[in-house]
Amino acid sequence: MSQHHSAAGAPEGAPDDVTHAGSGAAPGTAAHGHATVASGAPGAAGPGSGTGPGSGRARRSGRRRGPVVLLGLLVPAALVAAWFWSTAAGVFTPVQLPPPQDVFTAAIDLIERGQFFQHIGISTQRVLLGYAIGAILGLAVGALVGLSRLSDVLFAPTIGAFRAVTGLAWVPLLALWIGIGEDSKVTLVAIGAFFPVYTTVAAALRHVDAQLVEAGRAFGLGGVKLLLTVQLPAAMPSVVAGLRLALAQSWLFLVAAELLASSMGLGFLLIDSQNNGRTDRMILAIVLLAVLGKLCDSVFALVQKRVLDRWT
Amino acid sequence: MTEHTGQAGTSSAHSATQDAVALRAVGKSFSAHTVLRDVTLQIPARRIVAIIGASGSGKSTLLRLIGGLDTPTDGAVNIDGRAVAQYDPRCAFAFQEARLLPWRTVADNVALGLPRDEDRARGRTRIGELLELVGLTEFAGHKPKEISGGMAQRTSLARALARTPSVLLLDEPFGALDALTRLRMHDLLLDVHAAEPTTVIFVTHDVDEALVLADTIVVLGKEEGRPGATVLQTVSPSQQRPRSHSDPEFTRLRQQLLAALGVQLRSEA
Repeated sequence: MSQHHSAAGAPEGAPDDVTHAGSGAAPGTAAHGHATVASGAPGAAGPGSGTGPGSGRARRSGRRRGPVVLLGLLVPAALVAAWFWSTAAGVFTPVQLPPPQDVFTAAIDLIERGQFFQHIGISTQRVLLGYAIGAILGLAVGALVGLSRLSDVLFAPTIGAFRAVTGLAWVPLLALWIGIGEDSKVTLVAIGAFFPVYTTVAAALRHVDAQLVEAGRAFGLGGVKLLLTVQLPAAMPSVVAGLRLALAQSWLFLVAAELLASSMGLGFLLIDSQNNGRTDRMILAIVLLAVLGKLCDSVFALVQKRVLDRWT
Repeated sequence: MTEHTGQAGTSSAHSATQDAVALRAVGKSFSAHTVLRDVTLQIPARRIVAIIGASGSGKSTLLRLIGGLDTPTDGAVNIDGRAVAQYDPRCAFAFQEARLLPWRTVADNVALGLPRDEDRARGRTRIGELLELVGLTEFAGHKPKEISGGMAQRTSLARALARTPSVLLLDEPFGALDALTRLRMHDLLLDVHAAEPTTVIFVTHDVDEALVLADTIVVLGKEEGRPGATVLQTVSPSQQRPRSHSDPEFTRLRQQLLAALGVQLRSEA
């Protein structure tokens, strides 16, 4: 959670595609891997506010996305090459670091046993379920705290204190209260998803431009109508940024849940392989977590781009 | 308005029903700080009234009190003889900043001004007319970030007009615009007023702007040794619009108003 902490407090950063636009003349400087780094601080930066609106739009349309994506694969390819070379040269023992082809074989083996997609499937299911629950609760509570001064004063300190508790700390308690079945894992993921959404939504709604709100009121809007017409749309880019952050955090909390008490899933694969000395499977699990997490984030980035186009 | 051209405060309250806007002994304080004191004004329907004054003289505050965006500490504000409500539906406000919703198109921003109970089809026709009036028909589908500052102000004006207000309140609507756009906006305001003659009250710190546009000019300012600003004088030029800067009355009133604002021009003394 700590690496996302600062970003959750500052949802107004530049989305990665705007950063691309800034260096649009030289696409080579904007490698695709950049998106992962920037994903911590996406948000509303008024893409067209700088120069002419038309030019900003044209540059963001990303006609050169193909080459950029390929460039982003350069570093992973280099890493695999280094991995291949170092294991072949005997820098590491196979127990410390098995060669890439062993990890690949381990994957094939798991597919043949029918466990590969089972692990992925159950982990994905836990993430999506927990994420949905946590995000909805985060939206609701964040809206409450962001819109009502009273709720803010009443609840914000308590929620803030709970937020300070790391995900792992919940695992024993959840196992005791809810048991070691699916519920406790989904709950933990939901906890992980809740806080980024809650924080960004509350902050975004609290900081909606007071002048816009007054203009809305001056034109006869109030209550729910004001919320739907002015406040929510104004908060939209930050809300989506929070939702994206929460999805990333869901994957982090998933591993915490599966490490301690489970019989399936990528976290289980990790801990089970450790117990059996299968370093190849451990590495496979980590690669899968990285790929799945990044895939989820990339899909979300597309959604986010649309939302930013629509609501800014 | 000729009967009110002297010192405000001396005017009687007998005409409350025929006046569009009537302020009686209005004062406004923020905690211990008095902004306005004893403001009494009567503005007949369909007049264009300018409120001028040095910065910090409570011009915007006065406008906000008339529109029901703030409530007075003392006195009463009436429109057509009835007290002003919070965010009064009879008023429409165009702010100093355009304050458009960035995610809505120009047309949809104008639509925000339509009365809540407006029929949908009629509303659309009305938006079309207003966009035509302010010359933004071809920008109807643009978003605020895609148009210029002057266009945004025109959108803001159209949004206010969409409310078909009895009182149109403009808070330094042209302040942020360049000189040329500003002149065009002056003409636009007069055109709009000719097409749909509502009562217009606008705040400006520009004496020339007030003299070009207004039937009546209200000068707000502080009196020696007393807290808060009040009406120092009201002036109603007799010259017909469009008014020439070289007209003797224009020059005379300009000096009079500047003097009231505490500006002595050596070049024109």
